[in-house]
Amino acid sequence: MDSQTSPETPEADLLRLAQKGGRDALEQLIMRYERRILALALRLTGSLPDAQDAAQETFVRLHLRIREIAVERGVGAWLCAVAVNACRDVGRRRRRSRLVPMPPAVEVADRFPDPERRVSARQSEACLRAALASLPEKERAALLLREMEGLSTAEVARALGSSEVTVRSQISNARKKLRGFFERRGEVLP
Amino acid sequence: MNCPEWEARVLRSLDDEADAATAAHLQECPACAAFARELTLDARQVRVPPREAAVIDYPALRAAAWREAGGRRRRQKIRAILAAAAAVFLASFLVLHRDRPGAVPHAAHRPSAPPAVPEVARDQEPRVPVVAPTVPPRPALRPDRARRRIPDADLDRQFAEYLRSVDESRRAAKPLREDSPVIARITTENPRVTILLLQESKGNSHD
Repeated sequence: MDSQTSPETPEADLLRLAQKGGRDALEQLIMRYERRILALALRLTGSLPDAQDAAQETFVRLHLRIREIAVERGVGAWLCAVAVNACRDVGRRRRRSRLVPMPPAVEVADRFPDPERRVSARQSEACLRAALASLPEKERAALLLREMEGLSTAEVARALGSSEVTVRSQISNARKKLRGFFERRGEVLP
Repeated sequence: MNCPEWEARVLRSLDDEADAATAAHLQECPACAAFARELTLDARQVRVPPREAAVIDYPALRAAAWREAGGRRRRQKIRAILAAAAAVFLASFLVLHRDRPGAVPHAAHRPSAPPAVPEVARDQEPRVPVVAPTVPPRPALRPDRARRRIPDADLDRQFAEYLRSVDESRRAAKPLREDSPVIARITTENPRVTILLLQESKGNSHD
């Protein structure tokens, strides 16, 4: 690691160093965002292999286009926008290749030792995935950028290439649909 | 305003600060308050990262991104070099295989010197200075082309003149002889070459 970079280095300084060719600064930036980007990609694609592909593509684009990022806007919003596009590209490629998405091969340890809470958590996780999958692509992306990444309406609009009015409407629609989905599922589940 | 209409305002109020009317309605209406609570819980649930995100091999992901980025940079460089090489090759090919114009007199290329100011004697009339022509003369035809083209032009001219004379003679009501197939005889500069214009025969092919 460079003497100039450390986990406490401000993001803007890391970005400046990375733009000057600092390899460790770029590595630090990626390490700061990799979990968030992968979680976003997972929610957007609903598949672990696709999410990994999209996250890798996002970081490759970060490598190649780091000089295009405006320091005052930050890396986070830029990465989220790139991740949304990468997920879209991966989905398009997947549809073209007509491959059936494989379920994740890893067995994930439950965080809830209590069996009742474990079942409930799994149900809610599966329910959330199904609910997100039922949303249109743009509404899902707008909702996830707002809720998961905490982007402002203007940042979401920039990331999706839409107007702020459209984004507000998309987020409201997504919330309403999600609520409707959960209500219907709640009636079905015991 | 009924509850479904309030719901739209409640949905919007999640992002911005709830306006006073919506806040008051949420305190009065238990159904809308429950709806707002559920929306908040849904948003919280969406914010929870999926469990799979915790078990990814992130160092391997980063290493793969580094490798892929390096490979793409190399490919971009190779593409740029190939494009530049192709451009240079194409340009040199065009320059070498361009049809060269004929020899141009040196005077055409030489920048025209400023006209010399003539020395004028006090008792003489001032002379007008001679200015070199700025438009270069057309290059002369190559001798072999000149040889080839002039007889053709002569023949064409002769033939055109003959046709005009035949036409005039026809107009003068001098009918052609029926039995003679030759309606014109054109002599050329070459004494061994004579062009015969034959009448179209409809009957005997031996004619």
